[in-house]
Amino acid sequence: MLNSKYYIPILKWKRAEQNALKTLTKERKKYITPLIQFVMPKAKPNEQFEETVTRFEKQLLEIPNKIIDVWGTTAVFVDVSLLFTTSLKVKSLKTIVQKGNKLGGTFIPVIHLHDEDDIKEKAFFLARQNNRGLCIRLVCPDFLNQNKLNQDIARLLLSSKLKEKDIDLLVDIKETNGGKEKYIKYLNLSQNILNIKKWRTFILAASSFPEDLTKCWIDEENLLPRIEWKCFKDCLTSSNLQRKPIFADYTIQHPVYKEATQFFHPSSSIKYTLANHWLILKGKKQEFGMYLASAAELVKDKRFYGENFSDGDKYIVKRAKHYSSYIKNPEIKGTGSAETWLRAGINHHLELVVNQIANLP
Amino acid sequence: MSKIKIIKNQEDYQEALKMTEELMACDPNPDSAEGEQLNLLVTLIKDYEKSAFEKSLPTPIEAIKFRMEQEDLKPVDLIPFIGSRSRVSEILSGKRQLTIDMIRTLSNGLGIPAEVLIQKPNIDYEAWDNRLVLEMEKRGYFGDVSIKENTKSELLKSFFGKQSQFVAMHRKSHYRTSPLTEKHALSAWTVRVIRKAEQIKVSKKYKQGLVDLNFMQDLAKLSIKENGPLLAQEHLKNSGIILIIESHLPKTYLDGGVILTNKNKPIIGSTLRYDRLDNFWFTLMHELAHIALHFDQDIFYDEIENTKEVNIDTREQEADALAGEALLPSAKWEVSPARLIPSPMAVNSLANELGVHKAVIAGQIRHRTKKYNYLSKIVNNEKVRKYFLKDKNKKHA
Repeated sequence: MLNSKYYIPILKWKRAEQNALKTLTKERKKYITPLIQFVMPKAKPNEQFEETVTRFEKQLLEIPNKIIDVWGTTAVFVDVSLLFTTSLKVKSLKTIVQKGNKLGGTFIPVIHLHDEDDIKEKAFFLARQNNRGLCIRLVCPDFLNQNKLNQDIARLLLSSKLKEKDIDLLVDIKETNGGKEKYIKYLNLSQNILNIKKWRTFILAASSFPEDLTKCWIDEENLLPRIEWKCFKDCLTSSNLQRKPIFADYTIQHPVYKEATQFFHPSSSIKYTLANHWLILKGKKQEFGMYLASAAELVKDKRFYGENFSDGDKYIVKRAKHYSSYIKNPEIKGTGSAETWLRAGINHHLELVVNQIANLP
Repeated sequence: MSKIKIIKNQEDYQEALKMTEELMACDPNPDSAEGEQLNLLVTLIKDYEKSAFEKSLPTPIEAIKFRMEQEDLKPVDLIPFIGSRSRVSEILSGKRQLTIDMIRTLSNGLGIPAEVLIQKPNIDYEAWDNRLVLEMEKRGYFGDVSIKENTKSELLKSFFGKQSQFVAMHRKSHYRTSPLTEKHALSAWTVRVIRKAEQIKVSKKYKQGLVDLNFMQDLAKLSIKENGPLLAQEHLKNSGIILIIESHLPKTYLDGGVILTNKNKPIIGSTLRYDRLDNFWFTLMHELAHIALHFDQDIFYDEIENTKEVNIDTREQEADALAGEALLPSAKWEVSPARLIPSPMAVNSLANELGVHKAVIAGQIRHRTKKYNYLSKIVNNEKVRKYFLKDKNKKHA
């Protein structure tokens, strides 16, 4: 189904991510299969847990339509592991995947090796029913005992009544911890997975994007290395691998999801992906004019990809042009918000990575 | 009768008086030869007495104290004429000189002749701080003459010569009340700069009006060159302005100064107190701004402070403003993203647009945003003293 020219971005189902996906060109979309992680909506002040769950359940039926509206009918991975309670996960998986496929989409359920049986059974059922396959998402602790891992996988195959060729195997390293070692370690361990060559796809996900920007400075150039991309490129030239992976990352976000608290305000920073780094133009919290100032500088920088590179880049240029008016009269606003800047950053990243993958030898 | 001659000393004076008496006894006709001799003698005696009388004027402090004794005045009674109690104390102890305002009020209020008050006090070199004199010796201010072989007064007298007063404007990072040591050190530093400048031959006279904003902006463009500070020094020399590098003396907190004793040859002294390119260029621009703005306004440093007519802060602010304008024009700054984000990207972008060194821009951004902890890597990485090591090593220049 997918070959090494594909890209799997792991994204949360939030407005910024949705719009970043929506504004991708059709040509780019062909080479992307997003893995969408559903998260609980942000709790309202004084809202009880049950009320938040109910609120999410009410939105569930609309989600498949929205995904097709944003993404179209090409393949998308559906991961409900970050939702609360097993019953909500089961219900969500069923509603989204079943309805999505009925609407003509290609919705592939994602399970973890140690998910509750109810979730696994629902995912197996949906995979068999829709004939769209399944994705197993392995995480680092699963590799503590390779024999046990292979036994668990064998048991899962048996109970799912699916073959390796029906299943996408996603090994999710999450944080690279600042070096190549972790990536290389799990890439090599993955090669020992039973019948590694037989799986429908083998995807390796990781991210070196930091948890926050506390180590970035306003008055310094912040270039953070995209370690996972470097490692991925290196592994493609390796002759020791039985199977080479498909590239997956978390775009411009940290791989471990942390729910924002009610009073959390991100800094007005632009996160701009370059070929081998992320360029962080650090701003300050609640000082939205800094978005415009950074944009005005970024568009003049020789590393900027240009207005026509992506919708995100177009947005950056538009905001940069607004800077000169804004600085004379900040009352006119038009700085953009954390959401619109995240959308622009993700959109640019998606376009860039697809471009990079397409140009690999 | 002896031959009439110029009266040079007391002996000549007495002789002239005797001759006058003899002639007057004859009651000569004014048109006769004796009459003309008598006229000549009277003129010579008057001239000598005038000069002898002036030499015997009391010092300003002696005159004030004399008048206090006559009028039975206490120091507190001088406050209306001099200022605060501490100021009166400083004046009476000789730690501070009288300002023009004080001279005016003391003359009008206490009837002390202005010609007495306006005198420059005798310089008491013995009051100089030994550590300062030792530092001057260490730096070669006295040439090969050692403090072991000469008294402090001899060394200082020889060093200063007739140059006890000078026209100089100093730029300091901050102004403090002026302790004696600081003033002495400032004087010594300034004369040292003048002495060094005297060694430099300048073929071209400075033409008033040459230094203006355009001149300064063009000069600032040399900052991007590898040896920009040296090129600037050469360019200034070709324009009749001498740039001297001389380290500041302790407690002066001095960045630089401009000395206008010779209007044909303005001298800029720079201390390179901070080994940073941005500081060098800003100080240089500041001193040039003084030449551009205050060339015709002689200002003695000692009289600048505490006078209402001449406000040092205003002049410094004017020079700061023009220096800033030369390095980073306000029209650019007002619309620059660096105003909101002092990032290296903003620095590079402004530096490229203006054609000046990024450290200079970084220094300006820090100054204008008052965020001196920003862009430290850029400003601290660009050193300047290395260009002038040769100057520094010229101990006996």
